[in-house]
Amino acid sequence: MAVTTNIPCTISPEATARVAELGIQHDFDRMVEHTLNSIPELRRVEVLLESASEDDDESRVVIVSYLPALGNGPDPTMWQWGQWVIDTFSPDVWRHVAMITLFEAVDGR
Amino acid sequence: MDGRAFLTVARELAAGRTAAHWRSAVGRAYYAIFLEGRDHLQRWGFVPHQRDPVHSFVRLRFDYAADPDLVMVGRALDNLSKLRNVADYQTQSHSFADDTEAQTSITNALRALALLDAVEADPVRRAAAIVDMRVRWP
Repeated sequence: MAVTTNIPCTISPEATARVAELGIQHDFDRMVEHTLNSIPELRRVEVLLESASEDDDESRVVIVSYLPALGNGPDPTMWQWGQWVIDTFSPDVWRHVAMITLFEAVDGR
Repeated sequence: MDGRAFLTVARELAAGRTAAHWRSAVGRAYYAIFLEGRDHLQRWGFVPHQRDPVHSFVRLRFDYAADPDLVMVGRALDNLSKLRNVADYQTQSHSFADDTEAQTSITNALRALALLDAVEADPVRRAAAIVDMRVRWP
C-alpha cells in the first residue's frame, strides 16, 4: 500500500481477515490510500468490521474517517468518496466496503 | 406518508442544540431515502419476499443498477446506513460534536432523492432501469 501521509491509520484484525476472505486486498488498499491522500483536514482513520445488523444482512468493512468539527455545514467527503469508488471498482468489490466521516470537537473530546 | 417527509423531521432535529438531536437527524435522513427507494422499487414491480432482509434488498438493487445515478443512490444508502449505526448505537463516540453529520446526512439524502426522482420522471430511463433489474433479479 503506497500511503504517503503521516495520518494515523489502524485496521482491526477482523477487518483484515474479512478483506482477505473476500480476496479484495489490492482494491481495499487503494481505497485506504485514496482516503488518506484525498480528504482535507483528515485526522485519523480506523477500519473496522461491522457485523450484520438489522439493516444489513452482511458484515461490512467500514472505513471511518475522523475530521475536526468546524461547523462548516454539510461536508462533501462521503458523497465524493462514494462517487470515486463507483467510478474505480466493480460493485462486487465496493459493496463490501463503506466509508463514513465522523466529526470530533477540535480539542479532541 | 412519503418517506421523504422524514427529511422535514431530520431538518428540525438538525436545528436542535444537542448531540441527541443531531444523532437522531442522521437516522431520519437514512430512512427518508431508504423508504423512498423501497417504494420506488415497489412501484417498479420489485417487492421483497417476507424472508428477504428489506434493507439489503433495496440497497443491492441500486448497487447493481445499470443507471449510474441509481448506483449512487445505493452508495448513499450504504454510507448513511453505517453512519446511522454509529449515531444510534455508539453513544460513547466523541463525534457528533456539532451538527455536521446531521447536515451532511440530510444533504446526501436530498441528493440521492433528486437522482431517484430524475429517473422516475424520465420514462425512457425508468423503463431501461426496470428492464435491467428484471434481467439481473429475475
